[in-house]
Amino acid sequence: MKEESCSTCPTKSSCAGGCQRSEAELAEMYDLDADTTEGHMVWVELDYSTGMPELKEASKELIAKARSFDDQRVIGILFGPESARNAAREAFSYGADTIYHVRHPSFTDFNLESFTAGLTAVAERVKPNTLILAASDEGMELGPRTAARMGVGITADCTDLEMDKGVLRMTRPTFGGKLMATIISNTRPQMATVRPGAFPVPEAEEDRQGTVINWPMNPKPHIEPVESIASEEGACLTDAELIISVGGGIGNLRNLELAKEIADRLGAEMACSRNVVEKGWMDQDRQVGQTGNVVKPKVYLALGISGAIQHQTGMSGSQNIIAVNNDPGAAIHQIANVSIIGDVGEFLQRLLKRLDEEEAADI
Amino acid sequence: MKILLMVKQVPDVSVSGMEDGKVPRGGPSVLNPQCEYALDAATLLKSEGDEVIAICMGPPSARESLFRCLELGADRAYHLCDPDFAGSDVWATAKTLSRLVLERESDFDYVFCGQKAADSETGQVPTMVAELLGVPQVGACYRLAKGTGSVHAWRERSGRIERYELGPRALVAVERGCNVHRLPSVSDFLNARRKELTVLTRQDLSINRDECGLKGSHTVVRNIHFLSSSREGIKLHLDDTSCAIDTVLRSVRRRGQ
Amino acid sequence: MTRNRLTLETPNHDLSKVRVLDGSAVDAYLQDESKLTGFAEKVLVPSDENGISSVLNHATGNDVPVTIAARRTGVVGGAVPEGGVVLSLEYMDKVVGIGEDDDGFYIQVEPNVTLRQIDDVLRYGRYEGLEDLTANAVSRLKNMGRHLYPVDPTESNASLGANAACNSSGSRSYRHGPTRDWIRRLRVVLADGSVLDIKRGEVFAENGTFILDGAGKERVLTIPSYEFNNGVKNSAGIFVTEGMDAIDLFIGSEGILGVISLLELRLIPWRPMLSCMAFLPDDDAALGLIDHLKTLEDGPELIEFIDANGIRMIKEEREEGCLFSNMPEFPLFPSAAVMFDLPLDDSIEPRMEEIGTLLNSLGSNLGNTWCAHEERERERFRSFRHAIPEAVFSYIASRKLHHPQMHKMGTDISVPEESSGEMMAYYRKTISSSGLKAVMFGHLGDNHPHLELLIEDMDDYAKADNLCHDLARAAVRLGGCPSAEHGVGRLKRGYLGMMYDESQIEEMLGLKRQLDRNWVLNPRVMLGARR
Repeated sequence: MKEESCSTCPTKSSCAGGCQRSEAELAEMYDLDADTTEGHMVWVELDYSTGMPELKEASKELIAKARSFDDQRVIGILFGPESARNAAREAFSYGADTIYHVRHPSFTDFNLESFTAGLTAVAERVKPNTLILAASDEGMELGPRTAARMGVGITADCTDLEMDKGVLRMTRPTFGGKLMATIISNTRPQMATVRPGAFPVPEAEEDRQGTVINWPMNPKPHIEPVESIASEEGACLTDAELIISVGGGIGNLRNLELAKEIADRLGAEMACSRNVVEKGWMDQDRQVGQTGNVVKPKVYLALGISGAIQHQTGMSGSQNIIAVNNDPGAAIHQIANVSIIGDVGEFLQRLLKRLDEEEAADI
Repeated sequence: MKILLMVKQVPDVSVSGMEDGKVPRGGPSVLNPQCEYALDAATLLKSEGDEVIAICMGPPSARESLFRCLELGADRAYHLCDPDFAGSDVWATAKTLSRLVLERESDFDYVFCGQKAADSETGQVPTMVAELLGVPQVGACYRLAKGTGSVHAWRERSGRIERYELGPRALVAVERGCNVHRLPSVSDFLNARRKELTVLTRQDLSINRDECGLKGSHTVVRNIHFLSSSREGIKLHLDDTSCAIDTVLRSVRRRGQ
Repeated sequence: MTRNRLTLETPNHDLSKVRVLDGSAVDAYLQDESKLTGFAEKVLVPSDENGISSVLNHATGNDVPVTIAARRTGVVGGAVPEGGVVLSLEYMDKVVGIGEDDDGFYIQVEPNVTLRQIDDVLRYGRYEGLEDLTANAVSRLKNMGRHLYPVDPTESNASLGANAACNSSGSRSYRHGPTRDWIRRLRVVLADGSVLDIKRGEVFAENGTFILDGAGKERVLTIPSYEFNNGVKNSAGIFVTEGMDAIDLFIGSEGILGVISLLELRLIPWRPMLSCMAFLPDDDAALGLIDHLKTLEDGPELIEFIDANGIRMIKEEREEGCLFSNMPEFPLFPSAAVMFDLPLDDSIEPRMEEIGTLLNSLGSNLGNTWCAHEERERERFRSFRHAIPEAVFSYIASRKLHHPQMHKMGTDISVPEESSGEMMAYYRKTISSSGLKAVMFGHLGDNHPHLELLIEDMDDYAKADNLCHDLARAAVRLGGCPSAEHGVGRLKRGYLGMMYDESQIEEMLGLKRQLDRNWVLNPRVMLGARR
């Protein structure tokens, strides 16, 4: 089962992605000229946390990106109660021309069944050329579920999109971020989910106008959680700006306590490598890596982490990686912006001493 | 209770193969780590009279991964193996897997699978299979337990922990589990050799050639390029004076701007 | 043409291409895994055979002692210099090519290539850039399926040149023998800078002599006449037999006769194996299983033992420390363990049933026996086994902080099959009367376990030193060898006197003098200072 292995053309084994066919040849090969679809559709996700429905940042990014593709219409689809209509104006200001508002009072909450039904129905009516969603927890389910219902292809978790004469070129990392694959779809709409933060959010054009089309719909039955509680701390890790992460090289529990105290004082989230979870020193929800969380903080301070490829998968998107490890050959030093070769325990003690001194000076 | 366990075999990136950024070719393969968690969950939930059936689509070597499932508690296995399946994208994969289920094991109660494959990392196949089978799903599951006539599944979504009680006919995609990989015993190994492992080809499932593999895929890879993972980093020695601490504090406080 | 004629090549010399390190750069070359520290004036780093030849020619001409170093993973101090220069082979780390002859495929490597490097080539089929030494050998090997270099010394970062120089063995030597059996060809640079190119099966000793033929000048090389103990794993002293192959003179002679500059190693087809790790209630039960495994036809590739103390140490380390954290709970505890590999073919079921019956009579069963057939899982087994010496190292390192003179204390003793029971009884008696803590693990298939002593202070250290010598003497008395695979190096020179009498050692010295008149090659290794 080689999903998306290589293969632009049917002679796949020989070309392994190096195929140099032009888009026009491909269009012919896949019968893309028969395309009668038009417009770019974006699932517009709303945030109700302030009481007023507002566009999530990722949705702003996607609307603006779709706007930049070409001169075709940008169609937003949003789900929500009557009040969600107000969010349409915000969508226009980032580049949407038309908003389909799928309406029901309960649609403030994500409902996979209803949203799939609504999105499919609107997409089948509009017949857009592309349909893009944010690769949020919800988008990663709504996207493929809708694609399967419509029988079309989808490319997950893209980090870049490019429009080339109606053909959407979707780029996504694979193999732990070591490879980038550019993928096209031979069905319409061309569907993609896009990693939030992949594109900039432009200035809003406040006076931009558009049309709202109401789409009443009754919610479909769906499975609901019998229990839902705010997770204690776990969720912060993926959004954290500053992470202090410890690996097996932390050595002992005393050093771990020092790291926690420093994290506390610097306002950092604590994370760890698999090795530390296996020792039972930290919970698995703090694990970064292939079988844990994927994080992309502004600063990732890696203490005693060797940097196995599985770990890198979870943190290579960090803006600034600082590694402390006494092994100069550790893989983490290869990808770190700042490498400190030295003992982790000693590093922690010195850092803590510095923080103490600074605090004393402040008083 | 009949649990279908859908698994994938992936290249083993824990060996030196990936260090220089090259995809290991012909190197060892392993059961995808998140599928291993699904296997653990399925076999832990299983009690007398229940059946766990492992399913894998892949080249002949994928048999090893199915065998591991049989050793560690699955009762039977299907291996979807046909050159015509090669090059399947997420759509063609989901379609082939669900065709097998509908034709051979349509009376299932639950489908368990790993959330993501360690190589392609799309995480799309479970959801698409759920849709094609017409059953509800719980993704990103990190804990499973048996209820009365149901399965309890825990997941995290947007900062909240949710617990579901799933009646029969549902799909669960498992994201996390126990990191200590079990080791089968020789008894497990000998028993597994006596279990049924059915190899199915495209024709066994009456799938049209245009519906599977590369031809049945809706997405095609246009090109692949390597990312160089090395950053131009600064190297400091902890002993070099307090310079190291200064640098760290400066970066931390600027938050990398 | 006589069968005992060795033709010498005499290259031109050019020292200017050899890299020279001095000052503080030398510091990195003064230690190996024995943790002994030496001293040297300079480090010379040649990038090819001519470089080696130039260095040695110069050294002999100027009476400068040369210590040969590669990856410095030895545990007997062979690479630790005592003055003079270090000849570091670190630049000669290229896998050259693949060839094929009537006996199958072989791989050609430079001396600093590691076991891990050729494993990478063979396991992952990374043949890019390899030369065809015979017509289409690379593509033919590719088509023939995976191959294997069967010798697996524990330290896979050791260089193959060093493996050859001390005739290393490993767990698979139980079935496949030591490094010697797998060397097809060597190029060796002698002390005066001349070079020998020796293929196995071409040059043999006649009447205890070889003829060295250098540019028309002939001289006779007389080899020792003693009987080398070939009945056990033995890496002590210079290997000789009647009518010996010339290539064997340079295998296991620890670099005192010449520097290996190129090797050709034989490969065999890889076959699937089932690795097993059986847990039994105690050491005696484990030894019972081992006795049975040795009687199997087409038997295990390896038989390894971990005694009950070793299993306990692993369990403690996993619960309190950093190692072994991904290892599942042991199915039986307290217990001793036996690791063995069997070919994974149709015979596996009846054989396992038979082993199962035996396990039942020894108080265990097949359910208490882990198995692995996937590559990753088999690697896990390997790492369990290798982690014991690692744990011992880390223990000793922590003690060394308080007692700087302390170093690792362990044995490397092999005995003949018929004496194995007696030797085991002697181990137990002497360990218990010494009051020391010890773990035993290793190649019991070859009657070659490693005993590691967990010494706490210098009192223990002295006791352990006595114990090791006592055990070594017992081994020699029983027809065994006190240095089965690590070599003699600098640390175990004392053992040589237990195995060879004065006249035999004099024969070795004589051979050394004939090949290295100024005594410049590894002058402190094996035989000790110039005599």
